[in-house]
Amino acid sequence: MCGTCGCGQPDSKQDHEHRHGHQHEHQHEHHHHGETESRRVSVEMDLLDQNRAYASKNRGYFNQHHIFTLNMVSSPGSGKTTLLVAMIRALVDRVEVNVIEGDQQTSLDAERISEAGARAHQINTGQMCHLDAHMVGHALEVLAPADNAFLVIENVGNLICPAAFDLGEQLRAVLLSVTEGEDKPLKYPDMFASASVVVINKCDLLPYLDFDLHRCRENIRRINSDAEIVELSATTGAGMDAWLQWLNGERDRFTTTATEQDVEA
Amino acid sequence: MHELSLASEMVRIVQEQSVSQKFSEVKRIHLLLGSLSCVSDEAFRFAFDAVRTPLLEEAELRIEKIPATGQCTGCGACAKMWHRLERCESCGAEMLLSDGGDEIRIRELEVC
Repeated sequence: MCGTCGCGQPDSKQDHEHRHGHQHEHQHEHHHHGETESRRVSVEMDLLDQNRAYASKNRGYFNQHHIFTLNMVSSPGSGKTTLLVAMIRALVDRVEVNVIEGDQQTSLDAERISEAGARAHQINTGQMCHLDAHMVGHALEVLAPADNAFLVIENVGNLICPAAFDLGEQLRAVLLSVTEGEDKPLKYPDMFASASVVVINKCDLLPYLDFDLHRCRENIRRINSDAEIVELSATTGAGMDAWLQWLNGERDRFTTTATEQDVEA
Repeated sequence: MHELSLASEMVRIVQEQSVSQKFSEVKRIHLLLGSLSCVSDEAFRFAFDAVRTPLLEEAELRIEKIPATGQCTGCGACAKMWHRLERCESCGAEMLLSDGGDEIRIRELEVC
């Protein structure tokens, strides 16, 4: 259907009898629609579908090998690496600890992690502001964690971008340090909404700061009613025992479920 | 700027579709963007311009924002949620997210 000359429309001006009493052959140029006519094609694909497929593959690998995986996210400087080093020192005698480190540049964090006794692999994301499940899959090929190992993925320090990218982890820990302000969960709700556990770090500094711990908890609850909330100081070690105990409980629960799945299979 | 990764993924999907659905030019992309998808439409448009391929050189990007649905914690009313801290229009209580809002989906393309 051509909207400008009305061709093809019945009873239109072109289907005419002229007043002067004779019919003549109607001549006008028809457009050649075939070459440029547009059509609609349905796609219905989500831009995160492929990441979800890779995440699902990673999750399958973790389940199969009983590898308990924690994805740690936070803004830069909230103490992810310091907490990780403290965790490794406490856990390394009992379990093989593996760490995938995501940073834009340098292998400084991987060096700190290795010194603490964990097996580490650094991904320099370059321009990327987050890790995705595909990168983690390749890191796993290099790192090759042992069965029953503990794996921590230290994501790029960023409270926005990593939120949307499932890596296949069992738990997502969002760190928040008391030097950042208690309103952070409200300012970056997507990340806090995705957390399985929120770790409030640097609590040893509370006496020197105007940080309202109670309000911080309330803010977390407004965004996420299910997440575990843990308070600690990775530097002094206060609260570390409770954190590790909770983490071990989650790991035991995961291992039990994975073992049951093995039996069913 | 994870919008850059997502825009690149959109281009990859459209390139793939150009083979399977046989087209050589895209005139328009219709993208559904959930209100809680963590994507800034401005940043996404900026990123898309940076990663356009010849197939998409003239493509218009139409972004349709889709709200999540939630339920009021006070009166139980169901309503659209445009952000996570939405309050109920009737009673003012906070809304609890019940479904959706996370889609970043290519609905359809206008091609030739």
